[in-house]
Amino acid sequence: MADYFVLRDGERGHSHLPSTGEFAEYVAGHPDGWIERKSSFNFREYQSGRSGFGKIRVFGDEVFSGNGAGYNMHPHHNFIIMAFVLRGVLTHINTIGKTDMLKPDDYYIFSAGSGGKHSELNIEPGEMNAIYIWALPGRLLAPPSYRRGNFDRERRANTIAELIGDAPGALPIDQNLKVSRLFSNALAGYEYKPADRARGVYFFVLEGGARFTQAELRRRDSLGVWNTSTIELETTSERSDLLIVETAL
Amino acid sequence: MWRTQAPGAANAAHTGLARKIHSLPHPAPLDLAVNGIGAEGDVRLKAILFLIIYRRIGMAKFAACTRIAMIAQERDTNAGTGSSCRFRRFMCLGCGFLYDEERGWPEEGIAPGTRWEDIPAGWRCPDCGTAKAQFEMVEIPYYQAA
Repeated sequence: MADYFVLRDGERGHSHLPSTGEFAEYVAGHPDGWIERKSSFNFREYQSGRSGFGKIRVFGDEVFSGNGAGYNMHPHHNFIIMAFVLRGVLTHINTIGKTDMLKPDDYYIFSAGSGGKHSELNIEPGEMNAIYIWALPGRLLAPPSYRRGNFDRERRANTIAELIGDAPGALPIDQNLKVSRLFSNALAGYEYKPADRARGVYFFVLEGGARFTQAELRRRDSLGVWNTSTIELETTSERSDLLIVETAL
Repeated sequence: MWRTQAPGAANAAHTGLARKIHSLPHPAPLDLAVNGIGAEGDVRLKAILFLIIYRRIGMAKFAACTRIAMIAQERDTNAGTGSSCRFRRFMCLGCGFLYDEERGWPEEGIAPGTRWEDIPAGWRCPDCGTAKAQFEMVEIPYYQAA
């Protein structure tokens, strides 16, 4: 019998970070700029939830208001930081020597390793929404790296597409972890098979919904499952979009 | 480095070897061994031989003890938890900054070898200001260039 936990949209940690006052240095943008952060796991001021899942420490659903809102240049080490843009444009400037603009379905993997800095901004007038995942690294203080990819939702619809991991075409990661996306444009059933029973799988509904043996998930609900060889799901909306993280526990 | 002395738990694994060392003959009975040479009562020769043998055994005992400590320390460094000897690593959950007890953080006067529990509770991440309580102990190896 599989073990699991269900985390509803409204149960996540919620932070509103204005670009003024105590967050002025941390948050970029006009005085009326802000970041809305919903955290699946404990992060910074949110500390009353789960500490993480397997190698995942941060799973943040963030919205930046427009006109320059975002995070000012700040340092990182070790964490493998992944961002998946859902709406708007994310401008990402980092000390690995990349300035990048990511549109919906673009994603990046930034391994901070021995040290790097980055700034993430929304320079467009409308809002930007991205999912941020931070994973523990396989090795400490590795050379920093940055790679970006794109999820081709038309070509890869109705299948579980690996975005980060060891599959051909996926971006590599120095950790026992992989990230996949399921964009389903019809009501259908799918099976997810983790590499082995000892791994955990975290399903997060970006849009639409999905029914699992354990629970029915609606938009921005999530489910962590482990101790099972197969996980079955059925989409409950004509268009359903899920982000799936498989991790060693 | 301080607190590198193998504690009881680590020594326990080597009690067999430790017993062997303790069972080495005490220098005193060696006095009998030189009785033949010193039949004429050459006290000086007897004393010199006694010292040589005493020192040899002393050196052997010292070397064996050092080896035990080294084995214990190696084991503690390489293996799992349970020993206060092993240096631990802590990662800031706000940014990924690493505190390694073995390296300390000399930039803020925290000497190499300083245990996590000996850093004040009010200490914050030098890079991002995250509280000490929001660091996590990690058992992750360092990257090594191929």
